[in-house]
Amino acid sequence: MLARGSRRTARGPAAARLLAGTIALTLAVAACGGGDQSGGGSGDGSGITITLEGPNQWNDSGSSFGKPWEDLVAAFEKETGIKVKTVVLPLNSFSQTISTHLSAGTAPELVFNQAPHQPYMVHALDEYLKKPNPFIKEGPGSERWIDVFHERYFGFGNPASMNAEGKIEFIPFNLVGIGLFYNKDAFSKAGVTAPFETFEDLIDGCTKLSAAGYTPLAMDRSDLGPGWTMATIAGMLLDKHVDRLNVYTTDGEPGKATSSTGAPIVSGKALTRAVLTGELTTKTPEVVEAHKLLKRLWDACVDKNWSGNTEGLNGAVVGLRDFAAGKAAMAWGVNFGVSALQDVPFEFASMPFPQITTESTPLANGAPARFGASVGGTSYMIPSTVKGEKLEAAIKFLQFVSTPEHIQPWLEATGGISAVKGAEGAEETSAFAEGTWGDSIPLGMPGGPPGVPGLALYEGWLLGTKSLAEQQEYLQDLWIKGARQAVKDNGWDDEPWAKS
Amino acid sequence: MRTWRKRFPWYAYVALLPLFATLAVFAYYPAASGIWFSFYEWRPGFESVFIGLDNYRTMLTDDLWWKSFRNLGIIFAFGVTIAWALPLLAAELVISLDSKRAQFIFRTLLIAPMAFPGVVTALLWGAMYEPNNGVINRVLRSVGLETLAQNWLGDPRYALLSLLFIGFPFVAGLPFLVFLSALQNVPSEIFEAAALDGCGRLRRLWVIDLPLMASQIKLLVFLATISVLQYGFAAYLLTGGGPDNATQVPVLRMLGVAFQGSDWGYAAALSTTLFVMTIALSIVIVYVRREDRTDVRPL
Repeated sequence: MLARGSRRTARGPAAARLLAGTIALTLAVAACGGGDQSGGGSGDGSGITITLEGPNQWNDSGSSFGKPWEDLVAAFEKETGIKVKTVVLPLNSFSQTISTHLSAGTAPELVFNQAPHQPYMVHALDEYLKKPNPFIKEGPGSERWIDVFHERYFGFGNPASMNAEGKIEFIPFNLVGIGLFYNKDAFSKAGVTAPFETFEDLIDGCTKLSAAGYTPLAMDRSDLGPGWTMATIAGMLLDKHVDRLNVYTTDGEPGKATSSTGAPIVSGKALTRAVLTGELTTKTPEVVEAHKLLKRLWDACVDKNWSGNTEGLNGAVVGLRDFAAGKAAMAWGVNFGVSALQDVPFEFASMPFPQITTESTPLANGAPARFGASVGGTSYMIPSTVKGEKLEAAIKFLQFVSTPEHIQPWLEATGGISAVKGAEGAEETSAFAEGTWGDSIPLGMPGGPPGVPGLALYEGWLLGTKSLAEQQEYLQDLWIKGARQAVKDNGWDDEPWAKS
Repeated sequence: MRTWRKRFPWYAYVALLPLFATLAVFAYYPAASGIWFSFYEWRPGFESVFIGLDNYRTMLTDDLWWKSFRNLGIIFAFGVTIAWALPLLAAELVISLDSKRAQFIFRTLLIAPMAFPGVVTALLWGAMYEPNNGVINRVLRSVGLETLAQNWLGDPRYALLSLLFIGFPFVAGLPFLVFLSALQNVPSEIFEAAALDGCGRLRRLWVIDLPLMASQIKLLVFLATISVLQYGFAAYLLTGGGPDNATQVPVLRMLGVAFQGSDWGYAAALSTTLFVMTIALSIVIVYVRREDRTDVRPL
């Protein structure tokens, strides 16, 4: 045995060298194969090709974002000589694909921003945004690119625009407006009037719609429906805690944070502190009340089999199949959902979520329902691995699509809401961003740690498999884990409250 | 030994080289890389920082990870009971057929679904399980069994079992093939002798067939252990670990940490831990009853 072992050992290095050589050769071939990514091209853009990858938010094609997009790209290519290749990713897996590409350093020049990533994986765009946008000859944006955007939604100091390091890392092509679509025919048949003014009106409306044979509110097994509903309800009830918990600016310095419109908000750092110090817990009366109202809405308005509904999951309309089929009378949706509802056999319109008043809970303080428009629509960023002329070309594309005259036709054709001044966007979805509904929520419900989907936060409570006490304990545990992860990720370890 | 080595042509090893090169690049290297980077704050395309055992310390206090093991017991129990009993029955029935042609036809029909793409099968079953419009509930309602119609994947009470039943793995699968192969290798004289001695079919199963299949059953336990620890494919596609964590398994937690948390080093540590558990359990299975008892019991 020893002799055999000795022989094997003696042969080992030679075999290993041969194996290593084979692997090295294979890797070298693979490396050569990837060489075309660095590309070439002249400084004027001719010969340069950049690639943009993201999900198809407008149609079900696996190869094109649609003609309006192709027209936008063609206009850019004609003006700059830079070629743009669009990679359409499946809606149900784009997040993992982009996340993997960013982590591995293999992402193309432009990637959709709603994929998990860390700040070091993408370029901070702050310095570019302080310089003129060369495509804007006069007016906002001609001196500083950032000035062309609506400050309410996008800008320096706006928490919705900044990453964990306080930098801007993406450019919005449009805004996303969230609201409730409703079937006008169903409402008419059930004798229900839209929009609902109060939460109680909504519950009454659900009762009438159920009696008329409709599922009042379409719901599916995605994070969106429960998440948006809870965010809206909690946004109203937690309003009274904003001043108390607002102790850090959006840059993480001690002080008060405000949104671009000057309204007070609770920054991510302040929210993390509130969770870890116990100033905001799942037993805070408003948090408890938010859970009760959410459950009340679920029981009155949502189909009992909602948690098993996985057909037609999409990011535009929650429970699209049931709403489009005329079975459900209302559905949460975003402005992109208009195109998904083009062929429905009934008239539909949209409305905001109603206000919670003291009629529903004595804890209501008159805060309006807010959610509205945000930069969470179509936004793209540049991976930090992109350098040189490819980086400049990608910046040029982002500058081009934030030029009002260039983006206007695309917005009109896709039902988009404009993120830039001077472009109007589509008329039918402009209401998504108007009034108090268009304001951002100043204090949101904390989330769980990375890797725990949003649906998992409330699913047990909504299904009735967790009592309120169990839900409080379960959610508190996830809040703490999420806050501790935020401390670790953002380097807040030295803060005294972070040690609790 | 030396004589055999002289006769065996050295260049025969060259023929194995492409195989091992492929394994090295696509299996061994990624696996070794995952283990290596579990000691890092791994940033795959960037500079990674060595952090020693920090990821493993985090894992020890990660109760989301440890809780995800709770469902594995149910999955394992299902995998070695129902998922074996029916294939064994099917194998016994097929081997009992006199016609070789009939044996071939039934064997082919029973193993053909193994070739179906897993993703397609899972998604198809997902649509069948749909509570309001799915085929299963529609059929139940149409035959007056509405009370049996359930929210199969959306109810925490049924979700895990519903996932386990996808594709009826206990009918068409590897266990059937293994059992059938074992029975086909038993000399027919043994079965004939048992029949002449008046041994009934059920008694033959207990005293002859099962003892003769002991090594195959050990192999199946080994494979079941590996597949249970790596379970998560259908849950990833259809439930994401829900509803209310009813289908949560370690692989889903690992994928969540990697793809939603971008914490690749920690995900590698979780993956390495699963690998070590698999190896450890496999060693235990291999060494328990190491002697291969293929002798039959007295009639």
